[in-house]
Amino acid sequence: MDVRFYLSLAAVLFVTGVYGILTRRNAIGIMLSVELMANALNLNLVAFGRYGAGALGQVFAMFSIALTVTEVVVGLGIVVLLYRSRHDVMVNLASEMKR
Amino acid sequence: MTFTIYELAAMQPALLVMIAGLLAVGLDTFVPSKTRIAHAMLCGGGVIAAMAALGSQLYYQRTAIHAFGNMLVLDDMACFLSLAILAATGLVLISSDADTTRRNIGFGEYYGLIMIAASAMMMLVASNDFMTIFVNLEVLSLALYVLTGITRKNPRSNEASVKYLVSGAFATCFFLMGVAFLYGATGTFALSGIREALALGLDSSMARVGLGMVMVGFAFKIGAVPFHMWVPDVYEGAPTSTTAFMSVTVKAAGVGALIRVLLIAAPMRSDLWADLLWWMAVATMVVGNLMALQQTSVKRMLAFSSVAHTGYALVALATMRSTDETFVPEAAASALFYLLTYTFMTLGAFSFLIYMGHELPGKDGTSEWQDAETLSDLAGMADRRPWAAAMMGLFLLSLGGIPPTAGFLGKFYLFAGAIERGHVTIAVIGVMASLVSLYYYLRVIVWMYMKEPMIADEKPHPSVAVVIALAGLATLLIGVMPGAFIAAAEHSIAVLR
Repeated sequence: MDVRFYLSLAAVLFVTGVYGILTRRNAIGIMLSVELMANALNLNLVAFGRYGAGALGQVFAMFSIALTVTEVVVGLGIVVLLYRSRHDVMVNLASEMKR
Repeated sequence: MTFTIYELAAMQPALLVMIAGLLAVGLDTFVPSKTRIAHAMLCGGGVIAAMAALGSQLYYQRTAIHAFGNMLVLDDMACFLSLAILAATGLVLISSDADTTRRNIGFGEYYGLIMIAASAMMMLVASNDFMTIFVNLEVLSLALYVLTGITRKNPRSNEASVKYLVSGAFATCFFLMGVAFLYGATGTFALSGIREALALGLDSSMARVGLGMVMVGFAFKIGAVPFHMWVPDVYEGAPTSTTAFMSVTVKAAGVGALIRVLLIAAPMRSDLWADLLWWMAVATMVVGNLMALQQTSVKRMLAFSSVAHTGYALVALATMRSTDETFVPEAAASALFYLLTYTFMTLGAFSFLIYMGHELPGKDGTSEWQDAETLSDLAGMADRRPWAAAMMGLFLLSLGGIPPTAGFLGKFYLFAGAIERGHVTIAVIGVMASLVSLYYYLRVIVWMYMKEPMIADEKPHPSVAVVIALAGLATLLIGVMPGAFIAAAEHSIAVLR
């Protein structure tokens, strides 16, 4: 397998994630899209590491996975608080502050 | 790679802050929940100990400590910015006494998060490898997401925190994708390794895209246009002491890390990033100031003004490549000095809003704290609180760049340097932008001095008065005697690399 296959898959995943963030209005949906982007870049790191650049890429991917998980934990906590105060998790409706 | 125990010295100041923060969280189990003296003593002690460690590094040790396979380096630039971050952290610890007691925020979690964020920032400015940059950027962002939403029952605070989290996570993904591409192109995460690979004449589109995405990630974190959309909402919705903390320290840490990336990883490829930064700096100055003009809320105005000030700091980085194609890394010193001046004037201005807080009757008979936010909240305050209003006037004049304040010297040093390197256009745009900014800064002073008071029940908090006085003193001191600070900033850049 060529490294280009992995990079193409990662690019598709990344762009899907960006599209999701830009169009989704549900906070959970946005966090899922962030996960897609994070997986895309982890795939890139691992693929680069496997095809030439050395084992550091895999190490970095481990750090990245650990911190993304932390981010999701904190993020879901914050979304729960938003739900408690507004009874929905739609980000576009949460606009107490003016533009 | 093997490490010696001696290398821990490179992270000693940050570790002291981190340990104090973690102990403050644990302290909640031992002291009654209304007592705050123990937390304050512990965190204040941590900040002072870290400052002492940095001072001894600067004056006795002198040579930079490279640690953990050159992933962290405690050099003069790291010390300079860490001291600025610690000064801001110390002042915020004092002023957040008001917020925590007024809004019933747990002392342990609040002080703990502030200290953890501060320690991540100190390690961020000492990071010499994309792995450490990423981990510290992420730790400080996580702490700040929670700090933004720490007033759990306030819907504005919840909303700000969700918005910050979503845009921050998005930015982190961009940053990491850029790092992955740079790694694919060069085979290393070390800044010096990337420099060597680029020096060998490597010129792949992968490296270009990688550098571009890394810069987008940084632009998001420091709130530069066009990645500033989250700034006003987050700064407005967060509790004011958190706003004060993140508006000054994140900028110092983010710009510091960006300087290190540009100067160590890609100095000889300034053709790749100088133009990008030029446009970003111009857009940030213009958009930040024009948006600030339209605000009636002083807090939101200060948020947009902090966007504009990011633009001023970026001018120094954008003009590092002079018009006759020579690269002048020393130019970054004016950004460091500007960040130092910005720290005290912005912290002071936000603290004044906390100082002027008043009580609003809530829904169910309880009362709710409201910091001063709109112009009418500040109307006529010069008669009622002459000293505090005078200090606020000083901060606003300094933000606008009027001598003899720190803000004037910071801007003068920035724009004079830009003209010296042949970048006249950006300097003219910057001066025009700061002229525009005078309108909205002076409007606050006009309301304070020439209107009748509309609020008569403000309840100033004594500890915030201490912060306002100290920040005012620092603003004047840097303005009157800038020599030592400018020399320190120039030395920090000169020994970098």
